[in-house]
Amino acid sequence: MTKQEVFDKVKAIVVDQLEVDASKIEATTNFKEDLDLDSLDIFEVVDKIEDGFDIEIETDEGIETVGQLVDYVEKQVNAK
Amino acid sequence: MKLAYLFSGQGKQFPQMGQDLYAQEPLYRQTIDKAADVLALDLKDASVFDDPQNVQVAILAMSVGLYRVLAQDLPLPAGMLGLSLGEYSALVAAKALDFETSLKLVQDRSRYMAQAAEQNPGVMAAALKTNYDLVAQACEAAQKVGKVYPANYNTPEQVVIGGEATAVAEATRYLKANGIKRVVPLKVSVASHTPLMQPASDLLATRMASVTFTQPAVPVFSNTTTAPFTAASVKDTLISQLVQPTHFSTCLQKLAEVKPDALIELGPGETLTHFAGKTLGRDLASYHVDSMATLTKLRQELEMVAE
Repeated sequence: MTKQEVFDKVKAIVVDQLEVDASKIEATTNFKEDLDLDSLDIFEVVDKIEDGFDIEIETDEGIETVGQLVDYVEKQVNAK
Repeated sequence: MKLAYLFSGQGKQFPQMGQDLYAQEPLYRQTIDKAADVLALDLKDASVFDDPQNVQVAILAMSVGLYRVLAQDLPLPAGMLGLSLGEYSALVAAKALDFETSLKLVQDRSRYMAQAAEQNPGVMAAALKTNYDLVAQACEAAQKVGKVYPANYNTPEQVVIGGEATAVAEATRYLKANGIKRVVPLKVSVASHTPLMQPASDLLATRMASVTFTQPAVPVFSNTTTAPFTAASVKDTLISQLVQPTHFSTCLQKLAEVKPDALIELGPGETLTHFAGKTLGRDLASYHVDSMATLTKLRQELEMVAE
């Protein structure tokens, strides 16, 4: 998958899971500060990403932004 | 159109909450002013949240205010459900409990819980992608270290446990050893809905003697029993609610049996809407209202449905 493809799919999952406006989701979007999520919300999103891409995400990777999540997912998906 | 309402518990309160509604919705303003009067507390001032003791009454007043605003235009709902504190908002909306009485009662409930937390300090953690049996086993296995119990059955796959810190840590270890990847500590210092709250439950029992409830006008499903509250059982049920787990996910299934066309969550955040999506699927229309923007959106969408 290309980075753009991963980004689009991550964005779709985040928008669906959090019911946020798609225009709010960019690579620089910070989960805690921009989307006002608590750690429980973030883990629920991470769970959906794992299911959606069929990958495992370690929780102590320090993922704070959408861009960091995309980078992580891209590495995992392309390593499969 | 058949509606069902969900009333928020604690956790998603935000400092400016309700100020836009207060400025624009007369009935909301009237409700908040009444609450402020009864409690001698300026609920419009964001600094009221500096004292955690004020959070429960602020959410109650907001939820009731929102319900009243919606009730101006919408029919009586087919059923209601609240999470923990939200049960009081639901009972007020269902006319089983007088608003003024509820404010003072919830103010005291909040104080009793804080006192109990001082006597029996506790922590809570949410297990994700788990199942109820495994959580029960984990709590059982951790009893050798200390007290820990299932506290909130939120969705078919999310259960919050609560208890003494060492025992919650032990149960967490057990869950992780048995394939549960995520057990997320919650930012609370109280093990609500577990036997650690017994002192609060005892105080609430005494307090309830001076409170009168009437039969709810619509079914309100209890977190504790999962059956609708009745005038005869409501006090005992709310007294046990503090020491018994909440079965919110099962309650959602009961609420779905009244066949609502839409769910409306009232109060800060959309936690309950998410629980409903995970329990009932996403096909059932759901809305949450905690601001002018979300209220306007709901009004537009319901108008469209009505046309």
